[in-house]
Amino acid sequence: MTPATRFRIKKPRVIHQTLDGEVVIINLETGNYYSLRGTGAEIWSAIERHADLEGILAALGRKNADAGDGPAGMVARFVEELQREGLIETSGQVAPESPESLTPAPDAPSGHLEAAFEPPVLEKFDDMQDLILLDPVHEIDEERGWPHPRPDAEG
Amino acid sequence: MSPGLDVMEMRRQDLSKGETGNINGPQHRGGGWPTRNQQLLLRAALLQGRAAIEAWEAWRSRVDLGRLDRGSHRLLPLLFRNLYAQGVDHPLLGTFRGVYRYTWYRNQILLSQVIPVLRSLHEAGIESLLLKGAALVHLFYQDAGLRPMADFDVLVRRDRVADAMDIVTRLGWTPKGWSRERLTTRRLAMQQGLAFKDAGGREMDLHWHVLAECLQANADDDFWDGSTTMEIEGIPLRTLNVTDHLLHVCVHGAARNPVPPIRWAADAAVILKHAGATIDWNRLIEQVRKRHVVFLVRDALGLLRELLDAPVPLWVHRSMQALPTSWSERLEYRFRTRPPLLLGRFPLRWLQYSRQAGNVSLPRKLLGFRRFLQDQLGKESLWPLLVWVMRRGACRVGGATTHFANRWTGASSRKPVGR
Repeated sequence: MTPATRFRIKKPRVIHQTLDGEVVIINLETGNYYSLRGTGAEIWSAIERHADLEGILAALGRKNADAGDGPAGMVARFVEELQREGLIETSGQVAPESPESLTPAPDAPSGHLEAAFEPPVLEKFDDMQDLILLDPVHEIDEERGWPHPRPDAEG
Repeated sequence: MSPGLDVMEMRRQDLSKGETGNINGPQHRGGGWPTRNQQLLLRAALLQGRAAIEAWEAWRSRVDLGRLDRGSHRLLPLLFRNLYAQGVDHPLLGTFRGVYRYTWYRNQILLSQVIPVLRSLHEAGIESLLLKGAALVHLFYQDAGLRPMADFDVLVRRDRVADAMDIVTRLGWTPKGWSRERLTTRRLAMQQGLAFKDAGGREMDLHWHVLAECLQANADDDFWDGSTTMEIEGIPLRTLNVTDHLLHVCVHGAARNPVPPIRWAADAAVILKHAGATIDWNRLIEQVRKRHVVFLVRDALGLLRELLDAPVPLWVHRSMQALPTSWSERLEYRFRTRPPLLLGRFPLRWLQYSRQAGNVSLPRKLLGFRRFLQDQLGKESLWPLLVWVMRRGACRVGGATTHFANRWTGASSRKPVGR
């Protein structure tokens, strides 16, 4: 994977939906369910627009310079994780959208560039056979909702 | 808010009648129309601004979520989405958001399982017309998380049912009730469709008639002729036109059901919201007249207009009121929208059969009804049918006896308290 490698969502076997900043994803091949928020959701949004690694970092307001354990390294590892889960694939053919669309919006809060980087997290649920049997009103964590089981129902 | 419908007044009236947080009080159980609390939920889930928020506040103050009926449960994703859009902030929204996710996941998985069926039907040259949930979600809700689907409904033309059954079975779906070998012309004439289940327990219904009330050979010509095209994952499909979708939702939905069937009101309101301007009201009135469903659709549209401020023109309501109706249509409406009495669904089945049989002599009609019941109930011969009828009859009589005994003893035991 090079900084210029572009990515795309593996449609139609991967479907996704965004609501209130949370991206929910299903890999129809495995039935696994995923949730992304914050930085993870922003990265997904950039991949949806066929961004490469540099484009993703630009969308996050970061530069490729801070590699290793910095944001660039975290983003690269996160993208690899998305690939391992079969959610995205590389795409050399599709032209990225205009660079402006991959940079933070002009009206983004000031200090965005300097803000602490929140590592992206891919929340994965692979025990769907059990989770789908939960009553989504009575057997779940009330605050987080399905697919998070009520703490006393886990284990 | 509609004139004449004051949510707070409704609340005062219900509280004065002693209605508790249990949405389906005994007086409403199994009824075809929404209870007061369900009306509040519908308003909270579908209206905008202050009207929605008032309804939401009234609903949550009256309802125990732990005892929520299944009909109301089906509206929670829509409630979540609407409250979110209205800027409501409440701890329950976490739960409702979860129900939305759950619905979205289940619907997407169901759809992914049915895609191979649709593709195979298409490749075999069999036209598929999507009905109910899948079509409504795709065309009007436009969000798979908003409307739960228990199954997937596909209509094929009557002369292609056998081929369609072969394809569906070959793809691993098992018919519930009877198999392809038992498909007869009589069954085609007496049933609306057949349910199938896959290994994962997911269900799809293969229909050859749109409405259970209209099983004549040419009953669906109108629907096919007026159908429109749609596409899912590149597969060309057909679906009802907007007007017929509204008719179908009202006729199919606004009838008594063990699960309170209030979702029909949400479906109809969403259709009217997204495509109300394209409704051909004259077609709707003509369909209602021709298919003898005047009372059902007239009252359904009246409720939508009053409760949900739906854009149903007054002249449509008046035109339906002026349509001629028969005593059997009135009876059928009564049996469909009220809890069953001693005879259960028997009278409804008779009326349903009578529609199909037309004007034939009584002996022929009785003989035909016996066969109709056999087909409807999956009884291959007369004896199992008679046993079934006698057992059901005994249960009904026993239940009615217990009911009246309880009422009598209850009345007796209350007397001393009154003194």
